[in-house]
Parts: sequence; structure tokens; C-alpha cells
Amino acid sequence: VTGLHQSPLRRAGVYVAAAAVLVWIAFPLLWLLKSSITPVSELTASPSALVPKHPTLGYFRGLFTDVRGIDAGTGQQSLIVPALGKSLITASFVMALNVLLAAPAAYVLARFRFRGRVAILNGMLASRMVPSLVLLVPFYLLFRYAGLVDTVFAVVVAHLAITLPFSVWILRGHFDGVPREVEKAARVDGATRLRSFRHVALPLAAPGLVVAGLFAFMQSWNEFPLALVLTESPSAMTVQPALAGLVSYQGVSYGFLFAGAVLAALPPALIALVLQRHLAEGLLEGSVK
Amino acid sequence: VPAPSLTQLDERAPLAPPGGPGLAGRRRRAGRRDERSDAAFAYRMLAPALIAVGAVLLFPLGYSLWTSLTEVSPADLRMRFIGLRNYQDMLRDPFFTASLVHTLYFAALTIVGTVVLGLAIALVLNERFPGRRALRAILIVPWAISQVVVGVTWSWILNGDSGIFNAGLRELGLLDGPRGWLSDPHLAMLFVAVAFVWSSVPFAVLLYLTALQAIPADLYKAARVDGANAVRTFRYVTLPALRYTTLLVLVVSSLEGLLAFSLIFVMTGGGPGSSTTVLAWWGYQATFVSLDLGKGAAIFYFLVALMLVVTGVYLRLFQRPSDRGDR
Repeated sequence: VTGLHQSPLRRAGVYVAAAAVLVWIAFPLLWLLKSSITPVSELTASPSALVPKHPTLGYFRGLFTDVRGIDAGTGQQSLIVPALGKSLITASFVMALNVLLAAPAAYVLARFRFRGRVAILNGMLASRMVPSLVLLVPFYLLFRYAGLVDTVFAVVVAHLAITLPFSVWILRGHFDGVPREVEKAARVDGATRLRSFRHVALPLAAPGLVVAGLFAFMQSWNEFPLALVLTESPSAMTVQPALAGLVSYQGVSYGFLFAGAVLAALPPALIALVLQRHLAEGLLEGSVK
Repeated sequence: VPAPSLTQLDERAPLAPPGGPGLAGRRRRAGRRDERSDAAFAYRMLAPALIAVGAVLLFPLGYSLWTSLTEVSPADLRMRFIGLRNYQDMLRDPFFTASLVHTLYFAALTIVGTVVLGLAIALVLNERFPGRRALRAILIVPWAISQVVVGVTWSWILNGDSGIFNAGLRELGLLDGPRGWLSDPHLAMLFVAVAFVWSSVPFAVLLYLTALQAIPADLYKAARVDGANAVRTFRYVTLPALRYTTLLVLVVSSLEGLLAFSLIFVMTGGGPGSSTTVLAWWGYQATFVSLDLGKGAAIFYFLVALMLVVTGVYLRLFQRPSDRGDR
């Protein structure tokens, strides 16, 4: 709009502001990345060096090989890689369950008018607002009673609670956007409701299913407090509590902490970059209506 | 999920009888029955999701309320009903007022930071400059990564000895020697809030950008014809159009600010002393360190009540009968 009549002064101002925004957003990310490939001795000796003199992948390698005593002195950093694996398993289950459970519900909420529809929609919206913190105590107690603390199952269930209402909500938006004509034609041709859902609406809404699924994956991957209280050992611990544990563990070298943080940041960052446009729309969908 | 394409479906579906009066009549008569079986179909499709939400969300939520009315024995987790005593305990606890004040202070910092910076960055990204697309793409990354990673990153940036923040200050001659910002009881909260705003601002920017792009260009043209300068145009054209978005950003960032937990855990652990002990952190401590699960549940429920009150206040503030400029 304003691009046509820009004075040079104004344009310079925009460039300066844009550069400031770039630094604010990107610098912390690049700094983490830089610090993960710089020997710790160098980090402490010259804290303001923007580029590592002797870049190394040693800390990343150290995470995978369980080498004790590089400059860590312990094997604590070896918890990170198994935790990444647990995060992958947990988040994948959460993603699959979200799509399986939310898609049929979202479809009928978008397509059919029936008693209780508005109440269910409002209920889903209200459920989205439930903060995960209020679920810490009950999930801990219930899983403790059931002997299921420190299992992947417990974390999956807890993460399902905080993702499912949102998935229903954004998927409903996607089904709303799928044209009904093809389905109507299929119904007239004698397809049952279930068939027209499975073979017509579902494939057409596939991009929406991918967005909702990846979004659930991301939320599960990033979730910290529930995973913290529901896991205790490498047999179920996801990467966020493992990383937070490394922070408070004095003996571990910074290098491993930063390398672990980079690995933990990678999947959600990639998902966000791939989905950026959809993500913005999904967020609006979820928060505006 | 492998599903047959539309063309495959068309081949397999039975051919419709040539449209005649018979078909139309049958469909009219079937109308009512259709509606009823539509509903039956809808409930069947909804059942799995509703049962899941009930079991994994509503039941634990109710169970938490019940827990807050009991005393849970740390030894065997047996519960004993004690009425509202956990809530009384909580209100009488010397940590209560301090935690509440810290929570509101932290929320205020992050709300102001998110709204102001969110709008400012959105205004910049709404301009044209080379690399705008790339900048908009990476904008979302700080929001997408976990709070734990954000905490690790900013703790390191703010590290007293080797952090780049202090190194920069030293190069500029503003600081000599180490200075631990996160171990300063007066400043720790402020710096945790900076990290928090860094990760929460992309969301606000996205919302503001969408709103800015929805403002009709005609309005700006009209403002120019009327001789309005940039400031007045911003005040009378741009800002009114952002009212609704601002409400949204306020609600979302307030809820997130009130519930901040992970960053506190990673960056300060509630300290130094108890200077960054917010309600969420206190509730966690009460539950999993002091092992007083009933009281912990009460604190978390209080936090939810606080959230509801804040949301209600915003809705009141923004729902004036005169707001016709809203979307």
C-alpha cells in the first residue's frame, strides 16, 4: 500500500527497523547454534567472538556415543538421545490419536445439524482453555494409583488431553472449507454417509489432517510440565524434562546442553517453517471464532 | 492413509438411476427419516472424541477439584476429605501474597512487552523491504521451539561470566566484570520476562499482520486526501481497526503470562530466594517437593480462577456499546 510513495528517508527507516527485527528474532537462535559447535574453553575465553575459531561437532557426537569425560566427567548427557527417541514415539502416538479421534468428530460438526452441536463446539473451545498445570496433580495421582507413572502411555494420555479439543476445532474449520458438492454426488450415487466421509471428504481434507496432526506432534514434543511429573527414568522420559534436568546438573558441560537444545528445537522449528502459512491460519481459526 | 481417489470412487459407486419422478418422490418422503439418521450418524462419529475428552480431560479436571478438598497422605497417597482447608491454608501462607504479586508483575511485563513489540514488529513486517518473506518465515521459530530450549538459550545469553549480553556491555564500556542478571533478586523477573516475550511475540505479530492487511486501502487514501499526517493516520485509521486483535493478543498473552512455569523452572528455579516464585512455581513446589498434593491442587485451581477473572475483565473492557469499528 505504502510502497509506492516512499521517501528515501522513510525507506532507510524501514530498513533499519527490519534489521533490528532480524537481530531480535534470529540472534538468540544463531547464538545457540554457534555455542553448540564451539569448544566450551573457547566460549568462556572469548565470550563475544561471533564465529568459533575451532568449530566442532564433538558435543553432538558426544550425545550419541556416550563418551564419558570429554570435558563433562559424567555420562549424564547420554540421557538426551534416548529421550529424543521417547519424544518421537510419544509425539507420534499423540499425532495419530488426534487425527483418528478428531477427524470424524470434526467432520460431523462441520457437515450436520443436530441437537447438542453448538454445546459440543463451545465445550471444545472451553476445553482448549484448560491449562495443563491444573492437570498435573490429577494425572500424577491417577497414574500413580494405576502404577502407570513413568510409562509412555501416561504421557501420551496427558498430551492427548491438551491437544484433542484444539484438533477437533481446527479440523472442523478445514472440513468447512471442503466443497460439499462431491459428497452430495456420492450420496446420490448411493454411497452411505460413512463411505462418503471416508472416501470423499477425508481425502479432500488431507492437507488439513496433516496440519492438525503435525500441530499435535509439535505440542506434544514441546510439552514440559506434564512430561516432567509423569516420567522418572529413561524408559519414558521425553526430551524436554531430560534437557531441563541437564540444566540443573552441575557436572555437565555446556556444550552438551546446547547440542541437546539444538536437537530438541529442530523438529518443531522445521514443522513451523514448513507449515508457516497453515499454522498462522490454524491459530487464527482456533483463537478468533 | 491410502484412500481411493475420487475417480476410483466414481467407477465403483453404483450408477444413479436416470433422474425421474420416482427418485424425487422417494427423497422427499425420506427427508424426515434422513434427518433423524443424520443425527444418529453424527453422534456415532462424535462418540470416540467425546469419550476421549471426557476421560482424559474432564474427569481429571473434576478429580483435581476433589483432590483440592482433601488431604493426600504423602506415604500412600490416601485421600481424606477436609473441606476447604487447603484453600484456607493457601490464603494464610506467607508465600501466597508474594507469589500472587510476582505472578501479576510477571504477567504485566509480558503482556505489555508482547502487545507493544508485537504491534511494532507487525508494522515493520507490513512494509516492503528485501528479505521480508524470509524474515516472516523465521519469525515463527522462537514461538515454535519449546520453553525449555528458550530458557536454555536465554540463560546462556544472560550468563554472568560468559554470556554474550554482558560481553557486549563490556565491549561498550557499560560493565566491567561479571554480573549475573538472573541471580539478581530485583532484576531476575524482568530478564525472564524478556525471554518469555521473545518466544510469545511471533504469535502477536501474526495476528496483527493479518489485521493490518485486512484494513481497506481506501481508508488510507481517504486519510491522505483529508491531509492527515502519518501519526494521525495511525491513530485514527490503523489503531481502531486493531481493537479486536489487541483484545485477542491481550487475552492470549495474559493467560500464558499467568501460567508461566517452564521458563521459571529452567532460568531461575523460583529464585534467587523466592524473587521469581510465581503461583505456578509455588503450586509445583507444594505438590511435588513438599508433597502436599491437596494444597497444590488448590493453588492450581486458584490460578484457573485468576485466569477466568482476567479474561472476564478484558471482555468487559472491550465490549462497549459504541464499538462499531470492530470486525
